[in-house]
Amino acid sequence: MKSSRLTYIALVLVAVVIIGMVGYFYFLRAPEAPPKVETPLEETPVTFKEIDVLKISQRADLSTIDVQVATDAPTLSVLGHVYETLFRVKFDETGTPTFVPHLVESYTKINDTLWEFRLKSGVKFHDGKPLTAHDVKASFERGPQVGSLPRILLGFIEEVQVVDNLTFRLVLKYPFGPMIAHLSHPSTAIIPAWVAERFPNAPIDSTAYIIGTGPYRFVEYKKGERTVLEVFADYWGRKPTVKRIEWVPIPDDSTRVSFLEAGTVDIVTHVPPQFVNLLKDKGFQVVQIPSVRVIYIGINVERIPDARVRQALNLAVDKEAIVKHILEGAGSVASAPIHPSVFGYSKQTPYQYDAAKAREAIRAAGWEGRELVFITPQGRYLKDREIAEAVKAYLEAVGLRVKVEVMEWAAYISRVTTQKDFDLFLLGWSTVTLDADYGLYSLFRSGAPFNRMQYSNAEVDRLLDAARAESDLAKRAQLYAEAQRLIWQDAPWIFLHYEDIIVAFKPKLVDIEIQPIERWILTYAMVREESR
Amino acid sequence: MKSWTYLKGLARIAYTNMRFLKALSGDVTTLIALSIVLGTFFAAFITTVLLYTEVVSESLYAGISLANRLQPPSLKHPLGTDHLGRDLLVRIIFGARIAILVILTSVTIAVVLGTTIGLLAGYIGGYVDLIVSRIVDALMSFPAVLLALAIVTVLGPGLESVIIAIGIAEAPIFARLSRGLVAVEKENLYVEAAKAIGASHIRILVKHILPNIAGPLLVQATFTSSSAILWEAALSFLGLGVQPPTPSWGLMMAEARAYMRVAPHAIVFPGLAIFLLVFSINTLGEKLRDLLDPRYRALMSKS
Amino acid sequence: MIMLFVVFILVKALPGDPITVMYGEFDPPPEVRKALEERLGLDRPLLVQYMLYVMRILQGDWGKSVGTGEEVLRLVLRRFQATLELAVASVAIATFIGLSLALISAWRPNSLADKIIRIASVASYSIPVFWWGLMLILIFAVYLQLLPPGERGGLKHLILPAVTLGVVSFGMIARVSRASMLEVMTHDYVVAARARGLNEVKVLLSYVMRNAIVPIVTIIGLRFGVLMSGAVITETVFKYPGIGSMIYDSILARDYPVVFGGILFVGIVVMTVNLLVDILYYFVDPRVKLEKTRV
Repeated sequence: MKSSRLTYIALVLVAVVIIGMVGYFYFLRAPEAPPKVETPLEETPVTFKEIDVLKISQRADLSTIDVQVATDAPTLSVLGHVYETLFRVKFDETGTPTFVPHLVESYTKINDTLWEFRLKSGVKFHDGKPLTAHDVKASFERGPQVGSLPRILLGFIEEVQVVDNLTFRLVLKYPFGPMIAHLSHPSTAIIPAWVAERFPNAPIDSTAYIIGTGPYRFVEYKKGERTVLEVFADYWGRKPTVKRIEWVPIPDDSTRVSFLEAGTVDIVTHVPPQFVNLLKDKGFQVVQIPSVRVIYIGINVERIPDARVRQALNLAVDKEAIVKHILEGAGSVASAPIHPSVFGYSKQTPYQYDAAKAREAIRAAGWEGRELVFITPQGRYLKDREIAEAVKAYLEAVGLRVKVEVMEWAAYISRVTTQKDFDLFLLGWSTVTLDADYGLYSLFRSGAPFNRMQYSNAEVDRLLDAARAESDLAKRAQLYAEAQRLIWQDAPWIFLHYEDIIVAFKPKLVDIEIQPIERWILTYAMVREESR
Repeated sequence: MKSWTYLKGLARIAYTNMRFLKALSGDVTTLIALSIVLGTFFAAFITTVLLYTEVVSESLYAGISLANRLQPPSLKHPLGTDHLGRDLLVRIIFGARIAILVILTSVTIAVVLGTTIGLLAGYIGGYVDLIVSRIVDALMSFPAVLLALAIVTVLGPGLESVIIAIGIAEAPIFARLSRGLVAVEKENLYVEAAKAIGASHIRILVKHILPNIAGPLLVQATFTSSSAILWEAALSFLGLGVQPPTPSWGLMMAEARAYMRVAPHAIVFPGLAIFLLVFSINTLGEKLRDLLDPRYRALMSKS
Repeated sequence: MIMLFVVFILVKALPGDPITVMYGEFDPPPEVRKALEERLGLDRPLLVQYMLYVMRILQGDWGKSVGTGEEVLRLVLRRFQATLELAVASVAIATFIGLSLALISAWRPNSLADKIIRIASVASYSIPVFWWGLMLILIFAVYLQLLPPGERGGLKHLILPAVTLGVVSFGMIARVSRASMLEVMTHDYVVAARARGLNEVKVLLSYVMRNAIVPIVTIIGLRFGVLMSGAVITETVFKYPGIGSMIYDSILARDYPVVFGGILFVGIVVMTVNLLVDILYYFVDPRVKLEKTRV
């Protein structure tokens, strides 16, 4: 019996250890590391070291390997290191964009609808072939065939004329204000002509065809595990300081953050706000900047035709509270359908939260007690499901009934696009060209591809059409201001907020470029070292 | 009539096995387990009554209060609040209703579906049996979570889909079990006798065979009840469970996952609730199994 | 094959399709949709699609991932290797804990130790897998920083997921082996051996263990599907690149070739495992006739 008692003691010990561990974890929480005190002495020599391997974790894997097909930020961020565009966007500290020539050496306007461009010489594709005007022509002709984004972005081009090997002309359908902005979007990247011709109307089907002119070559892809890029030795521009970039997709927010904490990756993107302080306390660098993405709840105008009801929906939702509590400050309440940093933005009078007024309007319109079907994706946007739950509660507080359906992305997007059996849907839209045309035309023009609200206002249509063809900046801005006023008033959305981008990385990493268009450029990242 | 026969069969097992009750009272673990299960049923009953009589409204557990989100346990909120400022204790109590609902409905689906298929296959025998057995084998060795996942996606997420998916995913166990039991049972003399006096096949199956194999099925149903809860949690975790603001324990955990670091209570307590209920049901199941038909044990470890 | 067909129908019935997923918030251009549907054969009747798929498989062509063009066979093999490592490690852990506890239990049935072990066994299979995994990550990876929180790459990365799965599966093994050990202990030769005063440990290890192995092998074989289910969740929690999480991800992305390839492969593995269990059963316990084990 003695040995049985021993076993008993042993088991009790094990139990104590387990309980102790649970207690440790639960009651003590993490004994947080004391905040790092950095006291850079004046004489400490600082050196910057190049990086052999940089590991970054985003929240999604590549959705496609075709740069002209891709639409999502994670994929475009990866491919943005491989491909290059004619122009590129740079942001100053205030987030104001400027567009500078990139693959283009120089360009001149011949008349309103004819422009001539000259390419830089000595630019090589990863397969060793030089970049020529033929590649541009082929890319711009294939783009709209295979991709929704290039279809919008390059829709203004009537024809690409090759003048000589490095010179080409763009014949425009109409004078087009945001041309340069459009030509800096990664979806208008230049791919080799032979690849374009090989896949004229379908996405490329093997990573062997991922050939660009960018600083990095596409080296390896393992589905769901990682994507590896390596420096392209013959790159024409400044030599990258990072030799190899590994992209690890981790969809779950907490897991992604714990990978950074454990040192498995160097950078994590899309950090949820509740982790910000935690990471800062541990000495990680956390960058939080506003993005140009607006989050909205689209209202099916066919099913809710009464603008007063739609306005009431806007009044019923406390956007401030959502931003403050659910987003924990990682965003700002929307003051227009597009972000303030976008050209053409015009500030609107906010729909101030007023439940009583909303309830009154709902009752007056005879909508009290009606049930609305509200569909939402989850994990696509910052706190999307939580926001939907909160909105449901807000709308029910003003006398409506709401049936929330949380769906996984594939089912959701196909339902939003093809079926119209819902009243409300949550989506986001990034005005990545930083021009109002992109943020308004395809969303609010009658019959436009992403006008999923089925919204239609003849005056808005006229304004948007006119603004497209207007090359005078001031006049364009005025047209957009007027359009936004009407849209705001018609309220085909519940205008929610602009999302912030939060990226965290290891303490000594410097020169990581994070753009408000949800793009991160790691090419020139370095490690800051203080010797001694 | 038919259901009466089942009840009689079950009652016979319960009453003739006085050992069962005796054993229950003697064992502390079992007592605790029993009280947890009964407590959950009680909570489910009370909350249902409260909701139906409209003494309380849905907003008690669904109403949000953003300013109070992620509060740690306190006097006002004994278990703290969740990411939308809802009281966790209230949600866990109302969650009992969902848990019991999931158990009762999905297990019923699994039992009815599985047993019908199993009974027929076992009774008819021959090629039908062979084919059914193969399919059941295949289904059982296949990661059922993926099957359930596909079912929920096709039906669209929601409580009903989750219940149906669990029911279908758990049905093969009952098919295999009842098939095996029938195959043994139909060789018995009383079946021959019934056949001899001209009883129909259905009558033989329902009236004679089913009551005799009800015991092992009951044991299995107990275990399936506990896995139904785990299933629901797993589906919620994978993002395809019930819809908010349903206070399902699985959904509560799934939602709290993102805040695990800043508010561990929000995931710990629903997890504990699931664990305790599942553990209790399993403990009772073990007890039942030990006390009921020993043939069952033989069958489960062989077939 | 039947299974594959069922899955085939089911997956095709899912709302949404791989082409839509690829284009994110946007609608794919109709011409691309047409071209891709042709490339993938989605424009044909279901039955024809299935027949064509089976034909291609028979020719060794498993297809390519829709979005990213990775060869399915290569992908499946790589992912399976990862899952195999996880499965072997967790089964080893579960068997080790399960058998040791069963031995202690069976040695002195109804002792306090036995009771505690029985409670622990029930507790083991009452734990929600993902909850347990998350708790382990929290404790060992985040707070103590002893182990990496996931991914694949060497033994260190394997420990947490394997322990997660191992702990939730040892209970079943402990229970079954305790039962069969107790049964063996009542056999005359064991009783005789114990009565003769042979070393207790030796009796337990040599007689009881050996005879108890049969049901254990069976339970591992039978519960392979359950193990795979647990693996899907564990892999998702730990971001472990196994075949389970691959199938899960590709169901979400509607990446049909990968889903089918993965399921077909799992099916083949399951059949092989079942066969191996049968053979093992036959060798360990020659009294059992082969056809009887498969009912």
